[in-house]
Amino acid sequence: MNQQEIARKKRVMHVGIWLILICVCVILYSLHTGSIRLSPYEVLRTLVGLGSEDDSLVLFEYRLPRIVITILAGMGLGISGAILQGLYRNSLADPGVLGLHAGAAFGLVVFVSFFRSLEGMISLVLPLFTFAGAVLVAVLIVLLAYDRHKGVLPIRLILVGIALAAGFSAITLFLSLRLDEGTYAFAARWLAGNVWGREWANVLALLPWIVLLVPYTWLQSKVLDALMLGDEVATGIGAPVQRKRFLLMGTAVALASVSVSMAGGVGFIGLAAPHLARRLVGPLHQYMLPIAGMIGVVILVAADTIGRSIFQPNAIPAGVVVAAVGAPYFLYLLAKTK
Amino acid sequence: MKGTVFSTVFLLTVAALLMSMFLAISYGAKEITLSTVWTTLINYDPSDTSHQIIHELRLPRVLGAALIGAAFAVAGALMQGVTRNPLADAGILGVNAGATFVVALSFAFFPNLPYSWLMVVSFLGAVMGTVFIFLLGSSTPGGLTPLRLTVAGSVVAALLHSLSSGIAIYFELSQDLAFWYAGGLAGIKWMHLKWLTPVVLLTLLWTPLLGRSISAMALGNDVASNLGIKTKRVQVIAIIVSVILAGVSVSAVGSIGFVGLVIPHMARKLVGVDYRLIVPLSAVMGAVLLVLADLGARMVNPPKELAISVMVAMVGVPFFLYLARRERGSY
Amino acid sequence: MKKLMITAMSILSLLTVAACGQSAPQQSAPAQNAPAASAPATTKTPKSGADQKIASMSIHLTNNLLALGITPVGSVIGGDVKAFLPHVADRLKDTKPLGVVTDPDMEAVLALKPDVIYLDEAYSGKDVAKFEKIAPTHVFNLDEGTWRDTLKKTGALVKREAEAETFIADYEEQTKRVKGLIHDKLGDGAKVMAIRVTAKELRVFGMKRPMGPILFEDLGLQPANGVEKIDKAYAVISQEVLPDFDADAIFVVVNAGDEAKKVYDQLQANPLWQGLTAVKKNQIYIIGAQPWLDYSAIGNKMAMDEAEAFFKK
Repeated sequence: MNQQEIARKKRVMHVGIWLILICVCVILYSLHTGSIRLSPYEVLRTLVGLGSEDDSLVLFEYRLPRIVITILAGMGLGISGAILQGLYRNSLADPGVLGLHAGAAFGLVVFVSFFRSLEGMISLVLPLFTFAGAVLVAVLIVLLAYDRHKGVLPIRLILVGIALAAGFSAITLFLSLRLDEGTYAFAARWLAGNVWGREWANVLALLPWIVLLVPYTWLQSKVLDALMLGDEVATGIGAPVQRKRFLLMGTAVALASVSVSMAGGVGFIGLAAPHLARRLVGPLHQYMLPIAGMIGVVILVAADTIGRSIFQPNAIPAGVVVAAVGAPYFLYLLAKTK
Repeated sequence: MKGTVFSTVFLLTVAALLMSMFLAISYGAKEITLSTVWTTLINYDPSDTSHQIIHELRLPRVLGAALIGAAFAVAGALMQGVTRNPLADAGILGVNAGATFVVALSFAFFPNLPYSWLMVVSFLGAVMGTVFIFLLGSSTPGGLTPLRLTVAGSVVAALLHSLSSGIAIYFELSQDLAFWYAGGLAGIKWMHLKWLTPVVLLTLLWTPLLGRSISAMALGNDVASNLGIKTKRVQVIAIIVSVILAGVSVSAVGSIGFVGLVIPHMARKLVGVDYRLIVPLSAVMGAVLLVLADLGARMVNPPKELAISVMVAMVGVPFFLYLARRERGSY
Repeated sequence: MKKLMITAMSILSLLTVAACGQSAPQQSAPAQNAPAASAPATTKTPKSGADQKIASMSIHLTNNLLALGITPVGSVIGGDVKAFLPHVADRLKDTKPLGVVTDPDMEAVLALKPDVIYLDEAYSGKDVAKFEKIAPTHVFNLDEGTWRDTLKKTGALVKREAEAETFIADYEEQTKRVKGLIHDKLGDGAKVMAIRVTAKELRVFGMKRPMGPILFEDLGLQPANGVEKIDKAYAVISQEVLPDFDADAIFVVVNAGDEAKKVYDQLQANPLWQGLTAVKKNQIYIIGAQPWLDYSAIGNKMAMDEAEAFFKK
């Protein structure tokens, strides 16, 4: 192990520790936000099981499920964006911009038309539907953006994504018009990125996907590194390019769609998190992925908390807060890339 | 030779427009016989209920659809011509989103703005959106490539939409703003036409004068300069004209995308690259598209109305994908 | 690296400051709402009768309670107006808002420490278990019978059966009076309808609550042509078919919001509207969304007051 390697490891450790600290602070602050004010001390005391009965009810029944969902979804979106950017060597790739959210929304509306309810255990099936919708969009994107000679063309990928997003939103709107008003309002708020999951059942729907797919992605870091260098290099190293790419694309789509199934159509996290991560620890996925995940957590939890607390009595969907910050960042990147 | 092709195509589209307008006037929630429709048009009896329905509800709406379809299509044609960007469209270049955003602001802070002012305000928003996107593009080191412009435009649109819905939720305007998001012609009355018609028609009459310069510019700025055309000036004028057209339309019917994208392409397919022909043909074809889309929106699920933007998107999206796929090598 | 550390530090300190600053003044909030020393956090034994602390998770149940002279300690707010309904707001000054019924603020409910919670099955039926963790919960089904049945049920729960009976008797008395007044004004066999103008659409009220029962049952009015076929709260119609109803009198609800008002102004300016029988007879009655759409004891009573005032002239 050479000097450089050690220096980098040290840097990653530093960044990681700071990010974990920030995460913990944001989560604690979020846990403390709500109609009943619990001081940070009370939050901590309740978390270790020493709080009053009511405090535990507030924390474990009302606040924690929602926060766990934002944590998982933030992580999922951040890592999904990192995979997409790696796969397509395209720094502008983001699950929202690519239309995956619109596909997931399509799946959601189909789900609602079938089951007419989003309550309790039935919500466990919901991620499957959003996943199917997003897969549909992903397949269309790849088909339409693929060029026989040049592979998937980066800018065309984005263009096709934009158009598919518009198209699927139109179909979704069309379908949701046939639903009753309440469901329509729900779908509209969901599209704006409103974290609606409030129950442990919702957490349960999300958890297995994240727990399985995030470590899988991390184990594939080397493959992603190789793919970043180009298909020829990747083949040279011995990675079965097409199969790996297929699997990783599926992973990215799955992470994004299950995340938005519970957290609503929040865009731009998948764009910003990997960028910031690359800035902080360099392009190696082994280091960059966990950092991107943590940044995703910080952004989404912070956005949800801000949306809920600053604009009282009206809560602004987290997606709006993220877009207000994320879109300018996207434009900045767009202006900078050649 | 070219002249005859154009005249034939043009006359056919005008006929199609008249047909579709007559259809759109004849069909609606209440069944009215064709002969009643006809008598209303030539001999309006203000005391007859059926005549009133046609005269007060359907006629302004259909005329509005034709006018606005023409405006959107010509705006798109001009933008595509001067930016040499086949993907340019009012919806994509931030016009719609800018207008919606400013309307959201004015609903929040000046709730009692009269209609004429709302039109001015939304026009300013449209200008703002466009200028912002062009500035962003021109500060880019690689220059303003068509694709970059499109991507920037759609992200700015996403941003402004997001902000608008934030404002709407915070100030509890969702009800008022819903109309602006979805777009719709239901609100068009004679009163609105009184404002819209002169603005749109005067601007439209102006556009053929730009045709020759734009045709030359479509071949490249060098060619145009050699022909003695002041390219910068034409570019600025054309963009101003298209922003007026699109901005005024958005202020009347909310954001309707894709008309300005699809129609000029079809026109170009039919009559070639001469913008003196493309512009008037686009106007008529845009009118046909919007009249039919509005009729469709009313007839799919009566008496509820489908958002017209959904109808147009169903046509526009596949077309956009086709164009995006054909666009190669230009980045 | 250093920059990052500094940023992180400053965020951290900001958060701590914000956290401390906000938690202090709120601590005493629950205590304020406890009226007597008899309701400390530890006792969860439900008290009976009218001195219970009731949290109402339905605006209609809240208004039934008000009709019995009981003010709930907390209540959900109207989803449209995002506040207590205007016609009863002055009676709910000391009541804690608990969010909109579709997204209730559970923490606020908990903070109130109510003795009992009243729910509307249609909206909160699925969350009963959550509410029961806070306090004993009663579930009402507002579609069972009329508001009278709900009021009686409520009266039994809070031991005010007599008040409930008196309220209903007074209402029947008043209804009879108003019925006579309307008959004097509109004449025999007059057909009526009620419409609602929103920014996006025109609705005709049908035979189901909130509007159907008060107009066509309580007041015994005859529904306009086609209204009797609308077997739900309302149906969306096109302006084009408005003349087909051929109503002799129209009750109009104009939604809050400028866009709805503009739509109504335009509707009035329309010759089609001016040609309607009801308009020609000058029998258009603008009624408030509240109390008319509030299907509760107080809502119906206040609607009846409004109708009495209209037709007395």
